[in-house]
Amino acid sequence: MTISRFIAVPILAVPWIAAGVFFGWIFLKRVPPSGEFVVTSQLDGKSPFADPFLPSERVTPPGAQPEGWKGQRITGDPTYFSARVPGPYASVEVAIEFRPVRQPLIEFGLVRDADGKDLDLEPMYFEGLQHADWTDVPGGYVRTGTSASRLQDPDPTGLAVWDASATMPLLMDPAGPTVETSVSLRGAHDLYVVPADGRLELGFGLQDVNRKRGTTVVAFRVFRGEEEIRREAFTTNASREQAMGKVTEHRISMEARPGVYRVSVQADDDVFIRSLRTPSRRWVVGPRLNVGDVVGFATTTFAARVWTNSRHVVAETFHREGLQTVALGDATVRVVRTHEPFRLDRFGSAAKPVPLVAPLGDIRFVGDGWFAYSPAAFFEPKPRRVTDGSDLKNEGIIGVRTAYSRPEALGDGWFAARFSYSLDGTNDRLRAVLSAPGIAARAGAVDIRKISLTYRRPPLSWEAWWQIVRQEIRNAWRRIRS
Amino acid sequence: MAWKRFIASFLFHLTAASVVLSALLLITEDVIPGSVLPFVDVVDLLPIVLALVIATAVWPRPEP
Repeated sequence: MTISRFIAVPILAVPWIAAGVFFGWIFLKRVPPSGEFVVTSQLDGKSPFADPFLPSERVTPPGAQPEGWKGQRITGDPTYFSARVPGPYASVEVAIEFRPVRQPLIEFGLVRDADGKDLDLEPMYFEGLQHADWTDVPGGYVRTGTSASRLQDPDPTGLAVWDASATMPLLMDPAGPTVETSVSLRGAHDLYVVPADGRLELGFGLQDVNRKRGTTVVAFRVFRGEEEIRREAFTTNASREQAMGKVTEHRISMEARPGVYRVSVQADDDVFIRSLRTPSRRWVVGPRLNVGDVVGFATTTFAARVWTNSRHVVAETFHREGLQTVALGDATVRVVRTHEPFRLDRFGSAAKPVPLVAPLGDIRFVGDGWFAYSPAAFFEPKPRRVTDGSDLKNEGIIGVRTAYSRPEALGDGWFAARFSYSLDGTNDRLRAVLSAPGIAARAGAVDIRKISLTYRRPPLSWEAWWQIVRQEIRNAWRRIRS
Repeated sequence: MAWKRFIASFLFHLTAASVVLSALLLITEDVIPGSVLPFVDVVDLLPIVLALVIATAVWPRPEP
């Protein structure tokens, strides 16, 4: 008995049809007609599209955690997350379910380049703004009862910024006598100056200490707000000298409009600013103040005594002669080792500048505020930056300029934050950074129980489908050639 | 005997389609990483393909 061709042929075609359908199903998974591809991961290492957080020394193993939830606990800073991009998509929305544990500030951002230098961190969570006494207004948050327009007022007093820009205050002081201040600042510094009587006049006493061979070029860049308006260079007199160079003055003299001028002195640590002469009444340095030693210049130590509104200062010395007790207002710290940062924090509600004293000098400070050489010279050129140590109430902050949106509260201490990023269609992988500053020092943690990535592009039309196929072919060709 | 010939033919087409599909999926995964593996691990299908190849080879072919 023979089997009819009309029955045999269709049956024999079934394996080929099934293979075609299966390949088509894979294709539709890769190129969904809706234009949306969703990846959800509980950070248990099972998702082929989302990897757990790394490095391993800063996170717990992925999966079940001792408290009974699934995910990962982050205990160090920073940590990295990578995901495989499932094709050429135009954008991705990242949703993270997290729980902060003794961690007041968290930021998240996407790494855009292979070297990891093109990174833009965005606000993810700040405990200080979770309270009901802060109102969400256009441009940021204000303390309840404060007008939203306060955020637009250029006066930086009582304002803080978090990942946002601020308007420059338009300041001008009357002219006063030219005052010379001994400073002994080493290397690069930024000075913020209020012009006096329509002029910006500064005389820098510069000295090359000749601790390395060759001359040194010092660059002076002058900004009015964010706009650079002048650039000058100064070459030190140290071409073949063996001994310390003479102190030579470099002057900056120009007309000035109301505003805040930043003079950025760019030099290496071989150059000291020994003095500053100016008729401007108000000028500050910051956020870095490097009080250099006076070896070969003076026979007595040069104590560092400045006034600052910083609430958190990091002090570090690079010489044994710089080991000393440093005082910030009533707070003190003993700097007992070189090449190690020592943190100074002051608490309480005093918002006025306090003395910062290092009796032996030869020490570098980095603060979250500004440093002035007299109380009368102090002013705030910009609003304060929000940091993990910010205490909005005690610092007298009434407004925060920021693009931060409070994450959605999910209950039991869990929150959900969302971020959107554009993609250029050639990415094979995404790499993101989660920053939790100071997490190790306060024994804090950030628990992550779920990450969702929603990739989007326009729904498929024939033209869009053809563009995607071409992009996939281009990407495949690039991989084959590389 | 016609049914034995038919089964031999069916086995051949089944095996051929499986081999072609597996090769296509492996090549696609190689040039477009992540396009196949997250949905199906082709390597897990290879024992089935091997079994089909053996079955096709040993299935008795009746004399025409």
